[in-house]
Amino acid sequence: MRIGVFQFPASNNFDDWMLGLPRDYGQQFSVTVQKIWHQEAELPLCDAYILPGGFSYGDYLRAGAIASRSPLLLKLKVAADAGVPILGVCNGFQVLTESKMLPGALLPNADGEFLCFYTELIPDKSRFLLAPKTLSVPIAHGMGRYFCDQAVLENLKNNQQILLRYKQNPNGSTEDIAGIANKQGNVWGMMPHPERASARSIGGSSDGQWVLKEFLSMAKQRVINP
Amino acid sequence: MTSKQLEAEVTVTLKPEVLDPEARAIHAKIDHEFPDQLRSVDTARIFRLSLDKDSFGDDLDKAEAFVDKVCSRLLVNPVSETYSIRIFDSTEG
Repeated sequence: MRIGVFQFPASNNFDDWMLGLPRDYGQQFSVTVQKIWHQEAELPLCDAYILPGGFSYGDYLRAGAIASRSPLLLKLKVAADAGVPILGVCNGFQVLTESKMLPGALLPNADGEFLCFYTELIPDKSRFLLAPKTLSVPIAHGMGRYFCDQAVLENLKNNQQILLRYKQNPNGSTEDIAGIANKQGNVWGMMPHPERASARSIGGSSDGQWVLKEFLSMAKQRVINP
Repeated sequence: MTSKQLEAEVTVTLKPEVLDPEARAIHAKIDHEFPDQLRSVDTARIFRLSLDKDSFGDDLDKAEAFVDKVCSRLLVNPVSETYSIRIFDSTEG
């Protein structure tokens, strides 16, 4: 499977993803990771795409706003509509909401502080992400307060699009929401960093594996580069 | 040839139902120094756009339609923000 990891100016985490993505999770996956620079003319053909964390374009205007308007993102949107799996983490989640691939917005944390610590995440009753327990996964963000209006919230609940909720809400997010999926279920966004709680060599929790494994399973079902 | 120079001032504010931590912190500080004199504090962001003379001349409607398009495409996130536009001629008065 070929996984494309986007890079904008001031994206980071590429090496975390190189380390964190499971390569042969119980022989289920064989994963190669490809870096996609935002100025590439065409979207390289991958089985799934990842929008990583960071501070694309210095978070100018609004976090993710400028990256979400780049030409390559328009092409990614076409791929999303065709069902290709896309995972946005932290700044990647912000890019996905700014590009309207996911509903809602991510606003400055309620207490105005940058927050960087492990959080306990409760998998919601989503159709897409099943984990057997509470997951310990770190956050690192200044603008992670998920906001949406009541109508959007009802839709998220009715369609079981809420992936993860914080056990203790760190940032003032609506209904403790830490991550959501689109209605079709192929586009995921979350503020916590599963790739930083995944590889043994990074240490700490490895609960992020649950998220990445579920995401890769989805990608494997429609694989084009075995 | 027009002598007007059209400018746009876009004011972007958070919707009233959206918590503004910056405004809250500023309010608390003002309250601390000047007790009991404020009801509320809101923050806003102002963009000043100077429009190209050849493209817009003195056509205020065309200028406003263009700036409105820029707002909805980029400057404003309608999920959490509202905005207002003022178009004016900077060579006047």
